[in-house]
This record gives sequence, structure tokens and C-alpha cells, in this order.
Amino acid sequence: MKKIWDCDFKMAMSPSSHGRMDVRENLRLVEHYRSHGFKDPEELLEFIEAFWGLRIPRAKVCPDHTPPAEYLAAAFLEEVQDCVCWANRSGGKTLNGALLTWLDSVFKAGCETKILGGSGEQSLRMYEHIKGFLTPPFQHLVEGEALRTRTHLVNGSNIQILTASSKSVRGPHPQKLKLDEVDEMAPELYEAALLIPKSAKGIRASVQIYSTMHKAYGLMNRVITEAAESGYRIYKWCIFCVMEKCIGRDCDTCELWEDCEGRARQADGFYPVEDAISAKRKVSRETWESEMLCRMPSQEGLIYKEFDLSIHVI
Amino acid sequence: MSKRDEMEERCLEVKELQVLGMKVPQIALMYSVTERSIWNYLRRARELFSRTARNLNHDEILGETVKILERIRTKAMRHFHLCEENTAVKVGYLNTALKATEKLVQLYQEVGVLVKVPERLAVEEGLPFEDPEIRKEYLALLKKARAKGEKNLGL
Repeated sequence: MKKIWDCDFKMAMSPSSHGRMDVRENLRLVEHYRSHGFKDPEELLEFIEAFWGLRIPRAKVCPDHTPPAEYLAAAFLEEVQDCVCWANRSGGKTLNGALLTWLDSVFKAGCETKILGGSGEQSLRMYEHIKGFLTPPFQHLVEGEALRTRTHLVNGSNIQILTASSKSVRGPHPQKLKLDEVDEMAPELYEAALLIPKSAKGIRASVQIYSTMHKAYGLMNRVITEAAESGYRIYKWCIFCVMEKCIGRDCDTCELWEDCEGRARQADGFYPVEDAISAKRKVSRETWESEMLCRMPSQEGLIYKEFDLSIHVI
Repeated sequence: MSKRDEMEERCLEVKELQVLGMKVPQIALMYSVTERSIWNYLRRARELFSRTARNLNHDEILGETVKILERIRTKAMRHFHLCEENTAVKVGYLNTALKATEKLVQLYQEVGVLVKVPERLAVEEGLPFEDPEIRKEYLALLKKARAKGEKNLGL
């Protein structure tokens, strides 16, 4: 096939030229996907990268972890309903949740989502991310204004951001529920929220949970422990799964070596290597392991750090 | 003229008459031959054209054209310099030289001697997005434009 843009791109798109993409073609492509869907996960990820400039990490860096792209594609294509994303700090949990919410709302007519954060501020972060996806090719799809509390789309979808209160989790039952940073959430609120989702309009009910696990015996610990029983699929990624590709650094002298073991050379994420080194220097080993490597909850602050539920409780 | 040359000449004449709009029966009447003979002439004319095209030496044709255009340009410029000042003729010579230069550049670009740099990237309206290959290429273009820092993408 002859490519329509077989030309010297550098010149064609330089600011001094008259290079201009036609917004109508972008709208037409969005409309195509709205009516026909995406061919495969690859096409979905390419679309995200082209339309929002977001490259979701795809490389499988750690053998027992899942790259975020795998979660995003599986959740959007409804291959998984209930799941838990256990990921590191700055690992893109909220961003992925917001992106998935927006994709569901735009490309699945009548898809309703409720978002509940561990705190009002956390919910607001998700809203801010969603607002960032409201770019020109999608603006015509929003009915009225994208409000902090509720956003309505012309295809019948809507997104509701809940405040962290028991009152807010009562009321209508959308198909999708996103719980962000559950480790900060009150257990009663979490329990009440789980009863929100309900299948409707051909869209299956789903609960998706995003959090780090930074509290020993916290809510996230419980969610993970009971995941298999509750029917949650666990998607786990650590700092190395979202790290930018490590190039030219000497492994022998690298401070990350003991955890990385050269895996970052295969990474394709966004987290700067320098920032990871700096973060590791600043925090304790326990914090580093629980919050960045997603290994085990921190026992900091516990009176008896050595306490083990399986050993010391009859 | 040999018999073969005569035959080729006849074939070309017949073809020319057909191109001018005459029907095969009319041409047959004109040459006092059968219609079948005219159809044979026409077939041979087609073969002759194909043979001629096959034997074309592209470099020779290109070289000849370049030489002619260069001669036109050189002569026009010489006359331009020899002309008295501010006459329409002088302007005419300059125009001729410029036209010859334009033609030369165009020719060089068409044969790939000069790389033509586009001034503008235009994406046709109504791309067939039902074709997955087109979608893939379009997304790749947007990504490439982003990577180049292009802001005016309508995104």
C-alpha cells in the first residue's frame, strides 16, 4: 500500500511550514472506533499513545508481575471484571484508572462509572486525570460540562466522583466501580461500596481496585489475601515494570542493582532511573520494598514488628 | 524504401486514420483492401508501438531533454544580457530562461535526481478507516508528529 504521508516528515511538520492535521479526520477515527471497536489490544494502546501521548508500559520486566498495558487492555476489552491493581507509588494507578474510565465511557454506550478514592483529594486526582483526556476529538461527546461531581456523555455514559463518605456510596447502581487507594479507605466504606456495581445495558458489573500496600494488616492486605476467594484477579507491577529503559548505566556500581538485577534494561516505562535511585536513598528499606517493589507491607509503626498472624494467633 | 518499411508505413497510416475517427470499412474502401487486412494492419501497428517503447533508451531521452532545456536557458540568458535595457523583449528572454529552469528542476525531481521537499502535509478527507492498515498508518503518523513536537494536530 502506498503510504499517504510518504514525504519528508521533518520538513512537512516543522513549525515554519504549513503542516496541519485535519481535526475532522481525528473525529472520524474516534467515531469509527465508537461504532466498530478496537481490533486488538495493540490497536487500543496505539490509539492511546497517538491521541493522548501516553505510552503505557508494555514490557514484561519482572517475571511475577504484569505490565500495566496488559491490565488496561484486559479491563477495557472486558476480559476481566473484578480485579486489584497492586502497584508502586507513582506507578500510574490513578492515571490508568482514569484512562480506563474515560475509554469505557466513550466507547461503551451507556457505561456508568462511580469512582471512590481513599480520600476526597484522591478522588479529585482521578477527576483531574479524566479532564486531561477531554481533548478536542472528544469534547463533542460531553453533555454540558465535565463537573467534579458528575460528567455526562451524549452516548448515555456517565462518570460520578464520590466523596469518601458512607452517604455517597448509596444510591444508583452503575456497572463500574473504581476504588482508588483502598489502603487509605475506611473498611465500612469499602464494604458498602462493593455493593454498588450492577450489570446493565449489556455491560457487566465490575469492581476495580487500585492501591499500594503500605500498611501491615491494612485494608489492601486484606483485599489481596482474600482476592482468590472474592474472585479478584491481581495485577501487580513494581517500579521496575514502569521504569524507563535503562541505557548506558554500569550495573556494577548501580545502587538499584540488588533489586533490579539488570531488569531495567528491558523496561519501556516512564519512571526515571535517577528518580528511583534518589527515592531509594531517601526511604528506609521497608518502605522501599512495600511501596516501590510491592513486596510486603511495611511494618513501620507497629509495636511488635515481628508479629506474624499465622504464628502468633491460635 | 524496403518492403518492410513500406509495410510499417502503411500500418501507421491506417492507425492514424482510425485515430482520426474513420471506421475500418471506410479505411478498407480507401485502400481497396479487405476489412480483415485493415484489422491486420492495426494489429501490426500495435506491435510496432510496443516494440518502439521497449527499445526506448530512457537515459538517452532524458539526456536529450536536459540538453535542449539547458540550451534554451543559456541562449535566453545570453539574449537577455545582450538586449537593451527595459524592453519587453528583454523581459521575455528572462521569462524563457526561468521557464526552462523550472522545467529542468521539475524534470530532475520527477526522475529522482533532486529530492522534492514538501511544503505542506495534507491528509485527504474521508480516509477509509475501515481498513486496519490505514488506521495503523494514521495512528503512526499522529505518534510521529507528536514525537517531532508538532502542536497543531487537532488532538
